[in-house]
Amino acid sequence: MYAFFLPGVVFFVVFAYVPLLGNAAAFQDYSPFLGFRGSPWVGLANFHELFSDPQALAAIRNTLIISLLQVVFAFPAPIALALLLNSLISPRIKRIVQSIVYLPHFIGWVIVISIWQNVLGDTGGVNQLFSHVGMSTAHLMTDASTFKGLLTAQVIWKETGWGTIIFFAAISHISTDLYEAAVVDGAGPWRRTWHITLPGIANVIALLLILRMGDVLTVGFEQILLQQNAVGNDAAQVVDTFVYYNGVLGGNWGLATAAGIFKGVVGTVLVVVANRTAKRFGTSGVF
Amino acid sequence: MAEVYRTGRRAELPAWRERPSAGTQFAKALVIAVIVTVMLYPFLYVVASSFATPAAANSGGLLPTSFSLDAYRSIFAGDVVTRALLVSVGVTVAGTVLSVLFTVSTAYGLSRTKDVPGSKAALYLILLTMLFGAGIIPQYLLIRNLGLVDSYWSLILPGMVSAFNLVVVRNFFMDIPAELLESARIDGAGELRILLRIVLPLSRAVIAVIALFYAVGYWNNFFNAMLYLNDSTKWPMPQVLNEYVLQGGQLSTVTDLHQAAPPSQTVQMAVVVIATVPILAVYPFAQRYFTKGVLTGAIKG
Amino acid sequence: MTGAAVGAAALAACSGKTGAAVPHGDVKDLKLPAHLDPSPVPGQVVSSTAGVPVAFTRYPAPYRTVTEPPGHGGTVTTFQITYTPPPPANNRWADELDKRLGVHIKPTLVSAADLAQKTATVIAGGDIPDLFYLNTATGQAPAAAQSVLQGAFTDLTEYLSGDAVRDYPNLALFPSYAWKNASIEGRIYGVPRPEPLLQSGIPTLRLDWLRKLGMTGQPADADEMFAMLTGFRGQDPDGNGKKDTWALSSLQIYWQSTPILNMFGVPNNWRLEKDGTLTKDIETDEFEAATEYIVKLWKAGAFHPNAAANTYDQQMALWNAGKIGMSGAALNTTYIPDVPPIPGVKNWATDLGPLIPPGHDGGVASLYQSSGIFGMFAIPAKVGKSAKGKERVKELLSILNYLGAPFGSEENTFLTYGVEGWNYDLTHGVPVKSTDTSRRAELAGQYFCEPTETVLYLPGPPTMSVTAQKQAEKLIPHTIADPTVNLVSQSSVSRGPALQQNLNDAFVGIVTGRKPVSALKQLRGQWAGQGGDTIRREFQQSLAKSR
Repeated sequence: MYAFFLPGVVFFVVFAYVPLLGNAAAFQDYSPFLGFRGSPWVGLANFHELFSDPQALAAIRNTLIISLLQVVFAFPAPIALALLLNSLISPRIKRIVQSIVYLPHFIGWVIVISIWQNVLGDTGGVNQLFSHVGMSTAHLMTDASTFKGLLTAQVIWKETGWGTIIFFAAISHISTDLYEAAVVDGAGPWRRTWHITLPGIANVIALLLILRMGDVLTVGFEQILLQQNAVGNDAAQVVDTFVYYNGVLGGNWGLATAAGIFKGVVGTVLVVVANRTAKRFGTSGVF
Repeated sequence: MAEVYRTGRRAELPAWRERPSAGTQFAKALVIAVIVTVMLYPFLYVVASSFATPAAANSGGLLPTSFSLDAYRSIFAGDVVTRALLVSVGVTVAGTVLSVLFTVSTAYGLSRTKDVPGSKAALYLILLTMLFGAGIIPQYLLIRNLGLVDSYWSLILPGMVSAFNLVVVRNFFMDIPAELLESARIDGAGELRILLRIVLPLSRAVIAVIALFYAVGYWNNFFNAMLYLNDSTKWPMPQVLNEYVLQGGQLSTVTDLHQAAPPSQTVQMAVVVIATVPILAVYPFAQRYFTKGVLTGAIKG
Repeated sequence: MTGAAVGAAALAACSGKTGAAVPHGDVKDLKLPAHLDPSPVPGQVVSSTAGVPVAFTRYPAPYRTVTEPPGHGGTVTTFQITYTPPPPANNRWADELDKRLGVHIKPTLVSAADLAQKTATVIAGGDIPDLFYLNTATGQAPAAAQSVLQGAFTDLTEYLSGDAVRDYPNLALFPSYAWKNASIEGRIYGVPRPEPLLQSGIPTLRLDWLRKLGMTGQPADADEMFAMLTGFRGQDPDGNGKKDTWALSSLQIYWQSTPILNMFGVPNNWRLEKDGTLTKDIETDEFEAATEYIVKLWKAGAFHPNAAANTYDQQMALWNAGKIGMSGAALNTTYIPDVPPIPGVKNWATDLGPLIPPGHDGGVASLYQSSGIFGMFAIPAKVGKSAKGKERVKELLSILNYLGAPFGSEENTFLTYGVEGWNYDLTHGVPVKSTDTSRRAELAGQYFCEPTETVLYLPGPPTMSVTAQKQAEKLIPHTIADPTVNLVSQSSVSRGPALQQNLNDAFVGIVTGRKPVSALKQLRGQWAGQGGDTIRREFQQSLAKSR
């Protein structure tokens, strides 16, 4: 067995752990020219700078709310769609629909957002329709109070189809014997979905949910950056945009690295908790 | 019952499945029609804009309707885009093969952490890399010190094994009934034989999925090219695409302009089409593996 | 004043707010490179006012400024910014460039979006290319200034200061302000890419729309400006019977708002008070007045509804679709030949022209002076320290001398347009670029230190450039400089982008009504507390040293 996994481990040591040594920059006033050896050590100053900014806390709060919305709404969406498509009788229609719903995944955020504006913006198709029937303009794309919902809707729209792929694979692993037995017992389509299909993919769902926890402080950077100006920092500053302005743009590598470590620590704690919980519910978890 | 589905319209329906009621069918058809329309629209928009005249593309309607091939002509003039497509295809094919090999092998090696001392630690080691990332400078220094700057390997090696895909594959491997593997072992089969003869055939679907994930990842990755390829003649498609699309699509905080008029919207959309269509063509191949109840056939057959 | 004449005034302009939040050194002890007047060329008109660009009434007949290849064989690696798709592998222009320079140029081309990251990684890697494009302006790669101060690049002062620059006669033609503003802590580390001093706050205006509103000339005060900008929304200037036009496509604290700030006399980034202290633009009453004015413009619908989030591409798409009355970009030599047809614009020379903002009370607006450079080419410290270091540095400077050949020279024409008969053709003595995309792309690596953008040349009626020059002579005395352009503040580099983003965010919030105008007071306090006061202190210290 060692022969199977040792090459993989070597890969991770070289390509993940060696660069990870660079995280020492979190404790440095890092300068690219002086390098890791030449840059001065500053202790926890970068972490202090990160957390002393009132905007950082607002950014963390926004990020957590958006993450929560996405876990509640965007995460189950592909499961629901996969189940719906799985219930289709004709494999041909199933296949065609599958290959349409995953298309939005391939279009970059810059274009996605401009298309959304074409449709939902103040001058977009929907509002033109509204004004035809005498309704006032709805600020669907620029309203700070609904912005987090908008982000979630965009993610659902863009990634749901792509997200179904892994669940199709999981569903195809379920033994058809189980369905046949269920039919013999008189179970209808709903009960089969509930008692066979869902439990059959529960392990994969748990796995993905646990891994999602590791990214709880990461929400669509480019997606938000492109729309942030329209709704303002109070609604749209997230950890990654905060780090971008405070760390990346000013060449503050130490601060940016410190933020990465913070995100990693939070993610690790959540993954461990989620993994324990998943095991308590009887799934295999990640580790 | 190795073949669950047979060809022919009626016969497609497995014996145990009843036809849904007309009402259910109608509701499903409606929901799916809505979803398909909403999901298909942007792609149609991109394709239609790429074939539009610049004036029509700028007019801001829901779908431009004029037809012109100018955008494609201008992009394919010269060899830049053709060459970038070749590079992308090469990197994607080679990278995906290597990635799948390493991922499957590592995932299998780690699929029985209870029996193999040390493998649990290896799993933790790998999982941690999903949570802590390195900045671009240390990544660049590594590639530079390995002598891989301006080498195509720099597009493959840094992301060759994804911990996420690895964990997913491992999860599927662990779902395979232990009795199957046990009986093979009793029959004297070695680990490699078990992997090739039992585990892999039962895991076609998930391998198709991660192959697709890897292929799309390699195909779309411009970041490695931006960091590691100084020689622009080696750039793959997405990095070339960036030069067309991102220049003017930069964030709205533009404060300085040092360029001529940006490429027209039609050219940008045509670049998106050229960069997307080849990878879309991969999906149907992967899709074939989703539709079979693999375990049934294997256990019974 | 005709539209065409005014159009030419902004000719050389690459518009935009100047990047000033960067350490540019104290110049007390620096003897700037000598400045020579250009040798006479038919069609060339030199102004007697300092800072006013040279004008050309025609495209100069080719003349040579360099007699033999400056390089001595071997390879020269470069790190350059690029704005076009990458070049083809078989590149006639690049081959010809190698031949002319006498070295093989091996470029690393970096798009503007990647400049900051790529600059940092290449410097961290240690193999800095021989000619390194260094741009420490805000929004480019400001953090690179730190590496300069830490000794990453060769100090070129002894090679270029005073009369030493006479060894590189083309570089001696560069405007003095460019050398001054490119210097860092009183030393010269690079050969600048010079730009005009006057380039922001004069965006392109739809003069045909102006006439539709019944206005005979540029707006003369704040009220006329208001009437014009709201008229672009309310009075159907494109005459299609629909209310589907706007004056402005982008809402940001600078960029398209700059003419309004100019109109109210808002300082250029900072104002130097008599007691030697600095006041930030947002801290002034003028800024408050300008903000209130912009709030009214927003309420009156002068801005496109998505103005706060429109990307540059979206702004250009709206402009090109004939929906917008004022583009953020100024008319310039690189823009004009590529102007796509805009519905309603029949003749760009009469239908498009720059907006010259008036003073709010009918006087003169205070236009912003920019830094006058867009980056510079530096030489790594390793090269200067090597055994034949001095020779190599001189060879590289000679190459930059070739690349910095004046506008219209044979060398400059080659660098700008390429190989005659292949990349361009001469039509009536004027170079016209090939329409073949691939041949155009061959010139992707052309962005060096050429001074093309600093001159006034309009491929139109011969008098236009001179009228524009006269216009510039009138305007330049009313421009105000950013007093911190040559000062050092490390905090400005590290904290600047975040503070700037906060300011922009609050400004947009106030204008769009998310926040009251009174929030400006609170904003000033926040800005000062979160690093603004530190930046002010550092600039003031640097100022005290340089006086």
